[in-house]
Amino acid sequence: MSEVADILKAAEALNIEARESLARISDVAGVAAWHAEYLSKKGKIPALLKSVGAIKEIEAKKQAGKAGNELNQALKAAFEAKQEEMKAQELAAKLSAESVDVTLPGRLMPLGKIHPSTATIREICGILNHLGFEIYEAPEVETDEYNFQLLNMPPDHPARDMWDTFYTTTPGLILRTHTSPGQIHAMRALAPQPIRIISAGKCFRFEEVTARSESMFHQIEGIAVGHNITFADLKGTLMSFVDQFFGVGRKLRFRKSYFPFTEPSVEVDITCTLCNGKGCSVCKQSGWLEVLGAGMVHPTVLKNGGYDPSVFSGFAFGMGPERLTMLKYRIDDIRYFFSNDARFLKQF
Amino acid sequence: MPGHSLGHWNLDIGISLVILVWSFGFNDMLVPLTWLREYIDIDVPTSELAERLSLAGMEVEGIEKAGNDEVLNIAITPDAARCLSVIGVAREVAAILGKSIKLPPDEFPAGGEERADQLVDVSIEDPNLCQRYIGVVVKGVQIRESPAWMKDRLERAGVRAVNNVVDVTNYVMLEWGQPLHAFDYQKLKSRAGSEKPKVIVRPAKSGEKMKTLDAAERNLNPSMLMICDSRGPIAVAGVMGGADSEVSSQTRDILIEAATFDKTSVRRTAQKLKMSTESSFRFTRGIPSRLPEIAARRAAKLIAELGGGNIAAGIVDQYPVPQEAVTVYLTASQVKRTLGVELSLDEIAKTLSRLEFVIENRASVPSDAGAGAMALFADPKEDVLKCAVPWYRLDVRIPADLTEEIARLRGFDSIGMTQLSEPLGRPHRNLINETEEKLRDILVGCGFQETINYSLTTPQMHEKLGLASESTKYVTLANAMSVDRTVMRRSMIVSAIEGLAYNARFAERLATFEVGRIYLPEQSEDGIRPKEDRRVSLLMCGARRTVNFNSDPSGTEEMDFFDLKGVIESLLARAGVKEDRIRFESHRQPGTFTPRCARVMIGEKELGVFGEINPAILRELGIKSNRVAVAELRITPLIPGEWDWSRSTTVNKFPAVIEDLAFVVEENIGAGTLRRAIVRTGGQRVVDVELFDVFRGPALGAGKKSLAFRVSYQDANAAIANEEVVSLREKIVQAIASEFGGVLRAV
Repeated sequence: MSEVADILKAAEALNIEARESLARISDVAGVAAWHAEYLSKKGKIPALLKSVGAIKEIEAKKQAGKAGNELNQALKAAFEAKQEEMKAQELAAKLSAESVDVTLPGRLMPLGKIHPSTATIREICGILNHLGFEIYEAPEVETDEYNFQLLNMPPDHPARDMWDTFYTTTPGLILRTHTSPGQIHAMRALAPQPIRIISAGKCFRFEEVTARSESMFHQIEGIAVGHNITFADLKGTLMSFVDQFFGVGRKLRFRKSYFPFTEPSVEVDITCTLCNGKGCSVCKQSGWLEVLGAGMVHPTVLKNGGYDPSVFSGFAFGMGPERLTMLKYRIDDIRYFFSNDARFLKQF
Repeated sequence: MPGHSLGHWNLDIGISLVILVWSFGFNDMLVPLTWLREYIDIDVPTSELAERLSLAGMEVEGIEKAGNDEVLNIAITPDAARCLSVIGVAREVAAILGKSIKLPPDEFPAGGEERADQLVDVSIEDPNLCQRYIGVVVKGVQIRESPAWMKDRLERAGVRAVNNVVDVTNYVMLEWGQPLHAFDYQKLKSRAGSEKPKVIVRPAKSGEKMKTLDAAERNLNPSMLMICDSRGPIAVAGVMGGADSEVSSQTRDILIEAATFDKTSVRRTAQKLKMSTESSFRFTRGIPSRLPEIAARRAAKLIAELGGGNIAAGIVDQYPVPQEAVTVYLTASQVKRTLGVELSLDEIAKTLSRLEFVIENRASVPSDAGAGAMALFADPKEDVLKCAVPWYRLDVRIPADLTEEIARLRGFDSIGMTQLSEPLGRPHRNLINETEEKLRDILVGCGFQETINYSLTTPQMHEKLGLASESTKYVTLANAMSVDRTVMRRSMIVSAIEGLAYNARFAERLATFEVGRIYLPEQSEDGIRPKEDRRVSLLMCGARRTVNFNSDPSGTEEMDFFDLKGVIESLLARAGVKEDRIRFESHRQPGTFTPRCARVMIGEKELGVFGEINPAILRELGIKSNRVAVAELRITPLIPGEWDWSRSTTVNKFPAVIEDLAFVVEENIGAGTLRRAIVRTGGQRVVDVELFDVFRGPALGAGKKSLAFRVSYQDANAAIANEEVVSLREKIVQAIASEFGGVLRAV
């Protein structure tokens, strides 16, 4: 037996031993210990390679060296593969230990919301902005002159009975009963330019607060004044609005009504949002819901606003965001809006 | 009773249409169909009739079965007062169906030997207050129950039957719309003694009194119009009769009054006496002066028919102000300009004649047309319609009124739909509204719930919260509805705390805001309206997070001053306010806040005050929470300029040198104040200064504290040199020493 043969034999034995040992290992620490035993500087493989270095005969040295190196490479590769395997196994075990009951409650971030009236006002104003209407805001504490007289209701006009008014201790100063005085403010500020204005805000009425009526509420008023503005323009504008607010496909119906500041005056119905016109409890079996008041601006009001009514014409319309919100969400008590009951508000 | 009280128009969903803009309860008229059919042949089903009436402006709110009859409940708008009568409604039906109406025959079967003018005199003191007064006398009437047909009709129309005479006056009022009154003639005669009874229409004299039919003793004053005789008042004109001349079961002779009183006078009288009757309601809406004669003759005939007796010949008729004939002009181009519909003059004329307008074609509008041609659009070449308005139409006075008649009769459906096409001028931005909307978005992003509170509250709430004194001025209601809502708020904090008080019973955690207005009468800009200042309020109370089993422990801590301050800082940052312009100053307002209270300044402008509400106040208001942080901020200082001039900066890729500097200072030196000094002294190359520790201890000495900052030095163009850092630090240390007496503790 030559020196070479002994080394080759020892290498083969070492190979079998190392591989069997590696196969038995089941964790990352074991792999490290195995590495120390066989592949580290003081391990068995470097020792084997050292004994190759002691061979004097060149050919024999070459042959033994090749075998030794091959063994070294092969075991290194085996080590790396095993190490990867053990790491993956450990990670999987660790993650598995972290599994949770996914139905436990989450950690809540505080959730902010806008008030439902604001949401409706924003939606309405957004649609009308796109139709060219600009936002114009007017005072809430108003004069009798702007709230009534300039809107074609002189003192003692019977139509004043239609608004129950909060008066203040200052004569002539009242809480506005509607947003319509905004029409006069806007016209006076902008006449004689053609205008398209929307004015939203709080209004007040001397009303008992019940599920069905409030002493404070919001209104949104729109007015367009220009040359040759017609009732057909009013219809077209309202149709565009209704399409976007209530969804395409609703029908519009105009009924003659009365407002002192418009002539002709109409109330506007849409096919019921719940039954789509078939008749239900919401629309009182009529198939229609009243959603707007509108009309052509009365010549006297145009004049009071600073426009010559024989040259200018215009239309105006108004609606109640609380009512629209109540229709949309089927809210049955208007008192919820301003009592700010957190249990109510959090639904929106 | 129909009429006289404002009815509410409700949907099943429970919404009063009062909340709908421009909508209100109109007054109802109950119209039995069998009665209506007496004047008009109706050949369409009731449901169709109801719908067509509704579209034309007579909103049928309900159809009720009454035996073999149906009763229409019609909401009457103020301009349609003519339809507070069955004949008025019949005229509408006739116009809608294109038919003509059959009026009751005008019969006046006078049979007595006496003439009315021998029995009674009438005098009107002021023709402005009473345009016409008619007296008709029926003698020898037997007071009894009315026949069933009349009682049924009255009952279906909502009026209680009393006796044949009273019933006839009500019946004719419902039929024609003319309020009537019946006096016991013998009672007037005995009051007059040997004289001929004289009816005088005059204002009440100061101190006069009268007992009305409802047995109430009324104190009168000269603003009230009365019907009097030589002895004094016998009726409140147009409102209610007097007890002294009331028709009773013994009455034999009747004086029927049919008059036209001034609507404003009746309105004021009724308001002063707090009385509203079927009669006063109709007068306040306007009664044409042609009507009393028709109604008086009709009533006399019916009384004689139902109660026997003789009608005295003739009528006593004082008619100082004859009703004017009214003419209104209209052109095809006016119709087109208002309605957007091309109609020929002929079509227009046909439509209007269905409403009994008498139409003539003219080449032009006469120069004296007045209101009849108000704002009329007329092409010089086009023909003009001269429209004689029927005497019973007091609501048609200007061309715009006629366009409404055309639209409602032809149907609004017949009008097309077009889009506005006129170019507008330059747009106007509404920066305050934009700012408010932005604040809402920011605060929602910070987890706040928006609220909208009542603007009405009480001075007591302001005072309890230390936000007003007894001499503070408010916009004060003259007719408050409730003791809790008497003045317009001067503070948003009042509203925020009211909302908290409401929610405190069931909400464990509140983070709310409100964007709104406060009302400051002493800062009026026009001398009458108060200043309406825009504000935003914030309120935080309860746990930092919604608490549950799985909560992060820090989320269960109570929110306090610093949670609110953090929100304000975020809000200002998001609103684009430069950090170096913001200053928080200690603020003392013990009536409202604990010492945890600050004033926020932007430059030299005060933005607002915030802090923790004094717990004593909370206890007084029955609020259990101890820690409630509240802010009220002005909105105007947050309005950005038209253009945001701020610029982004390039990300600095050169390394920063970061070091910790701790200064020992007196207790009263604010950390923020010190930080601002470091930032200011450091200049551009000190890019970040962050407080990371506050320490007090015996080693520092009493009344001292150590404030430790992490300071980042960085140069925009190169890695910052060590010598530069040293020199910047020197500058900072010297500044802190000289300005605040601070000593550098450790580097």
